[in-house]
Amino acid sequence: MTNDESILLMLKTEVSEKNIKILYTYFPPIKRFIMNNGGSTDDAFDTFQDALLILINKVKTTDFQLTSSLSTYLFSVCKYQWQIKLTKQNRFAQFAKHFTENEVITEQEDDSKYTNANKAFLLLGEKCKALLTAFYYQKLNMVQIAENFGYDSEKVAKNQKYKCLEKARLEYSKLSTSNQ
Amino acid sequence: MSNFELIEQYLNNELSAEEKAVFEQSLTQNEDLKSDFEFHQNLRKAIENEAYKSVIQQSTNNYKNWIKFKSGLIFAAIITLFVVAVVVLSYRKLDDKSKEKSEDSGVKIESPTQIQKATSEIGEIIKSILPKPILDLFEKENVIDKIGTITPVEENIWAEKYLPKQDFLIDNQKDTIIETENGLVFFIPGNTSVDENSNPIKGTITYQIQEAFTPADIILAGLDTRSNGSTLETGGMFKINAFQNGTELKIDNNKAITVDVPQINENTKDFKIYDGEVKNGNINWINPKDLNNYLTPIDMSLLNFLPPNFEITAQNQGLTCNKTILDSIYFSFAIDTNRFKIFYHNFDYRNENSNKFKLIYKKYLDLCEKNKNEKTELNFHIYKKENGEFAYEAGIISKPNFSKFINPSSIKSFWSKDYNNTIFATKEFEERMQYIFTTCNPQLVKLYIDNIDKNLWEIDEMASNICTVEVEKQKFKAFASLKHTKIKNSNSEQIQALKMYYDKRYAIIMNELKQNALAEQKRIEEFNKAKKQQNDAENAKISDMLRQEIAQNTYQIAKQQGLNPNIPIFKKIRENAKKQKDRLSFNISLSKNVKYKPKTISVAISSFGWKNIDKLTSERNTFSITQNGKTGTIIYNPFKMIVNRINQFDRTLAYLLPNELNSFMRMKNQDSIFTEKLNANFKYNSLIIGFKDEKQYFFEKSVSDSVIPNIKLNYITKDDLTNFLNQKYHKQAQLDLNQDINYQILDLNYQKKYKDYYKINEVKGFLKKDVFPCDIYDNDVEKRGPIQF
Repeated sequence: MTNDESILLMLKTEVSEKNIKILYTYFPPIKRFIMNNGGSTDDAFDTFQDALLILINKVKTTDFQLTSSLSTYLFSVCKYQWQIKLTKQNRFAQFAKHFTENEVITEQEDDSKYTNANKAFLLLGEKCKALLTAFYYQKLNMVQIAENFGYDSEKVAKNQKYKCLEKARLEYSKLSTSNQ
Repeated sequence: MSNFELIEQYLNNELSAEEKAVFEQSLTQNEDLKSDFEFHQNLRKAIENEAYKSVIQQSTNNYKNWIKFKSGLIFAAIITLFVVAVVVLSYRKLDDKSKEKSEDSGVKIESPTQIQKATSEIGEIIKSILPKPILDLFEKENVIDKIGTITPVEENIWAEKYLPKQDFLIDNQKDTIIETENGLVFFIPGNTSVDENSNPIKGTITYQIQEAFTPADIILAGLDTRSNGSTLETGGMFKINAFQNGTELKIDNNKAITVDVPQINENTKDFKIYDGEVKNGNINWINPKDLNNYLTPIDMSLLNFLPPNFEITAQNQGLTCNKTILDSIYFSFAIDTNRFKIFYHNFDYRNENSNKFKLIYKKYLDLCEKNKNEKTELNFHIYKKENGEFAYEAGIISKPNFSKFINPSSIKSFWSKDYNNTIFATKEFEERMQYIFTTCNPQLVKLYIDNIDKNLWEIDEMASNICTVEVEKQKFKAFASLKHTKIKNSNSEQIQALKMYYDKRYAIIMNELKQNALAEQKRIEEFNKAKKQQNDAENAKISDMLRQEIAQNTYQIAKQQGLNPNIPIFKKIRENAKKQKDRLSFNISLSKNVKYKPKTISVAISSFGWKNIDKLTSERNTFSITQNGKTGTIIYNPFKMIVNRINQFDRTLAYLLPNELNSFMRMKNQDSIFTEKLNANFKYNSLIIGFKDEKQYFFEKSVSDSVIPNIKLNYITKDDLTNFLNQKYHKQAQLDLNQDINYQILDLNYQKKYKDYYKINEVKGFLKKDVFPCDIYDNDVEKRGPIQF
């Protein structure tokens, strides 16, 4: 098992701060690339963060196999992301020569349903977001949630969760309708 | 919204197979359910992604902070429990060879033998698939709480738990070198570790090293770089500890462990080494000590003290040879006059008309004319190359710069294993030497040699002072600012001894080089002598041959003209032609090929008033002489021999032996075709000998046709060949032939042997510029490559 594969396995096992930090080893060349192609330091960080998210999703949800080294993969994803951003800003042409080849093609899912669900989630109050995260991401049970969030009982917690879901559903429906 | 519960159960895989089928069925039919399902799926994904994003954001913030504190400050090395006495910070390139060296010198080198503890079944599985560093990170899982904060454990700091431990089992009684994964190299003298009561430990002990050199390691280990409240810029941190049977050991008060830290950046002079003090799970850096910028010796054989570009030039000129030969070529410049030979040019005189040769002389005369007023000396030399082509070398000695160059002998005097473990055997000195070459100032080399016992930076400053050129001054100042000191553990007695040895050595080397060159010169002279003898003999042979032929022709013509060929005057001509060898001096010192020059023949004959004979004979063409109404004709017929597969022989020679004459002639050839003109009055035998790997191949036939095609040579031993020739030919011809054949073998061997020598000599012309970079050459003379005539 290569070092890259080990890192991916760790990432698959747990998305933690320390597991992601290791990936920052690959950041400097990416930063250089973006800054040489019309980006700022913040752009570089944003792009790299996007790439990290894409990587995590890949690792988590699919039978992801690296076809290149991890550093190459991340670089390519960032390049691609930055290309999209430049294109959106109508600035791509002036840097196009640096984008001749894309070693790894990352299919960009343009899923309006997901976008809407995401927006709906972000529109929730802090407490709702925390609660749903605790339940769906941290996989805490209702007893733990009641304890952490200071609810009287498991039942109250459950009820709260239900309310949050409903609220998100409502926002989601609004967004879906306005899209159409 | 009771759909949610059902969807959740489905997504969590909590439904029975039946319920699942029903659910999936209704998904396709119930739009509301489908919509809810999609929403739920996407919401979960969004929640996860938002969580990931915040983790990513945290990592990013930490990374940014690390970058910030990195660009503030200073070197810190953690030493807890153990105090490391000396830290050497230097450029170090420990490759395989130098590792072998260490082994040779009785030092034991340990590679890490990691001892890992599996904490759980999963840990066990992961352990088997993960490489070591990753594994250690993994095992820290149980110490991290859910949110990922770092919990100090009692007196130990988190880093000690977190960082991978590299364990080295060593024999305490032996000197040991340890190299860690990040390239720290520890030199641990024998008996360094002692127990609580300062008694030396016997047997195997475990050295445990933890290191944090990468940003990830430092951050993840939660290491702090504060020294009494102020932040340090870290060049890396490490912890070293020793145990035996679980008991911690300490360092003997009289001993010290040396550690080489890989070079962090160009400017290391501000870095200091700090001791780490652990309090309440935090670390504070105290007791800063200056780092000694000691030099690390490298084996002399790994260093390159050839002038810049020397190797490249040699390569570009097609000289591919091993280092020893290349070095010796360089050292040969120490006493070589090649410095003054500027360019080479070759052409094949045989295939060109003599105008080219005249042009060379014209060039020579031009050079003389051009330089006559200068205080220079012209060196012009025409010689014949191995392949028979003519070449010449020409150059001027430019006196003003004559003494200003780094004599290769001074390089040779320190570039040897005797100077291992001195400042000369370092990358740092190699770098300086490369620069010194460009200054052409031999004083600088002498300066470093004379001050071998001083710190390198001190000598750098002295060098800066003796330089007169401002750029050079600055360069040595820059060297001095690196504060390179000397070799660690340098034994000054050894250095003193070496210093005294230097003068002696210099003389020895000069002598040695001279002897080598003289021996080489002698060998060449001997060969040239043999060659000259052979040439003389051959020339004599040719003149003899011609004389005999002239005599015969005279006889024939007289006969045809109805004169008595035996009348005294003809007899006298013939006799004189045979006797007066000395008067028939052929000016053929340049080549046997000028043998038919009319001028040379005319000298011999003119005293007898025969105007025509010389000319006609010398051309060896059919001619008639009419005298008193009677005509005599001498007929020459062209003759050709073609040898099969001539390329398989190193050399192939064809001879014609006229029965009527006590002599032979060698035939001219172009590739496989040998040609000559036969005098119709003679009967000839043809003889071809091919030489290949000291074996002879042979063909012999009496000439009856004008062409002998498809000649195949057969192997014959040297003795058989000699015997055959002895039986077949006149005594004189035998001797001459044998002599010629012996010479050909000698010549062939010589040329094989000196093939490289010729090549090297040629390339040396180009290398001059690298060895004597400060010489100013006349641009007109210093043309490289062929000259256009």
